[in-house]
Amino acid sequence: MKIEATPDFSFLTMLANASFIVQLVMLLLLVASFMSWLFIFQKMFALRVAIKQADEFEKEFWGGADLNHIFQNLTSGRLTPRGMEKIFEAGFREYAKLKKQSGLDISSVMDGTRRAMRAAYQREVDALERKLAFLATVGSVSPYVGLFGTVWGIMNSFRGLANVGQATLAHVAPGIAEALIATAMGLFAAIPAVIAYNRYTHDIDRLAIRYESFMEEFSNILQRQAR
Amino acid sequence: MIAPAADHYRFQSGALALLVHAAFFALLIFGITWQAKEPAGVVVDLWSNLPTPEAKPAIKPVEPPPPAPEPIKKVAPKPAPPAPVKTPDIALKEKRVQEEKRKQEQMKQEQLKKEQLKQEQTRLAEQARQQQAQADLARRAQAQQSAAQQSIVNDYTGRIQSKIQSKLNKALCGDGKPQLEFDIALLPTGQLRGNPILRKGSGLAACDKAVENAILQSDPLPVPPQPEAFSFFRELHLKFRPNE
Repeated sequence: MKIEATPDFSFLTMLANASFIVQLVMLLLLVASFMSWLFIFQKMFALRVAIKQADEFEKEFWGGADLNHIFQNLTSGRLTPRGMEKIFEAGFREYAKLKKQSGLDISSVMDGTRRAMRAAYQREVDALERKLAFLATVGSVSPYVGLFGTVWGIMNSFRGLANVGQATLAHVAPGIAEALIATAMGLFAAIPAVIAYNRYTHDIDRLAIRYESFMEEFSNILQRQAR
Repeated sequence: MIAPAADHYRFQSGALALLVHAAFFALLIFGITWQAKEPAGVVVDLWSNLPTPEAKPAIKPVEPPPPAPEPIKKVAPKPAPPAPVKTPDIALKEKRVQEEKRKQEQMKQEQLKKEQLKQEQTRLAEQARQQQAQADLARRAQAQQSAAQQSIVNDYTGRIQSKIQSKLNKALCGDGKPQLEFDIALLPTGQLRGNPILRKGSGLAACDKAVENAILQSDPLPVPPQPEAFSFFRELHLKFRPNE
């Protein structure tokens, strides 16, 4: 029997000594954690941009500028319009098209415009909500995956204990410490994912409400113009 | 279709995610390593044999003082020849003073010599006393050790005897008072080295055989684990009285 006077508790040796399943679980958790952090940062930037754009567009829109002028600016621009701009663009485009057609009453023109805006709105919100489901999954599942790794590691360490005549804490402790790393990693993946998920859904909800109110107000303006 | 805004930040996000994980791993590596305290080293001396108790003097004998420079033996100047009558008074007086001085010096030197002798004697006595104490100490330690060893040896000879006795078929030795003597040799593990040798038979071949079988059956015999105590068990002379 090998006598280990000083059990090596450094993190890397613990990783190296862990059983294959536990290592696999840790790898899985590492990938999940990395992906969730990637999406967290992506969404953070994307939402920041979307909110800023909405602010700017509302300022421009309520600043009393001509609707035609705004539309020209948007369509002639190099960048594809996004968010609130996109909704405005889709609505105004449809409105102009329907207006050109003769023999349509105001309500059907407004219905068509509203449908076009609704479609653009849904696409925009969907784009914002992309990958949030992944964060939710990581947040809810990775603690269990980590726990699985830990349970497996502890099982192994106790099985090893069965072969030893005199059981001491020194026989079990390293195995349990190794196994607990899996739980730590699961929590490390889950906690930020849950926080980010909650925060981002809240932000997106607020943004969606802003879009919807804008749609209603814009419809009113268009209806007034149509008369 | 609109390109999702997030795509513009893919690389930034990737870098940031990497940074977060690097920080996490740094925390784990240093955090855990920091907690794993290195136990203080333990130095172990391995002794194959117990050291004989060194009767080192607790106190070092005091270094003898460097011998004082031998007083220069001055040949006492012969008393000046009787002053001639002619010598003037003053000269005579001077001579007398000188003589007095010389006498005083001589007395001083003698005293010094006596003192040195005394010191030497006390030093020698001290040394002798210390040596005596050392010897005493050594003798006592040896006595203690040998007593301890003796008790171990007695203990284990008793155990060996009783083990063999327990395996012995007494029925083969009849009703008389047979006495047998065997020589056996043991390995440090207690196993027999070679066969037991019958030194003095009981006269009953069956009895001799029975004792020999008992010895063989009780292999391995109990021996003390201490190597210095075992040295008594390398060669054993055993006496048996099966019927007692």
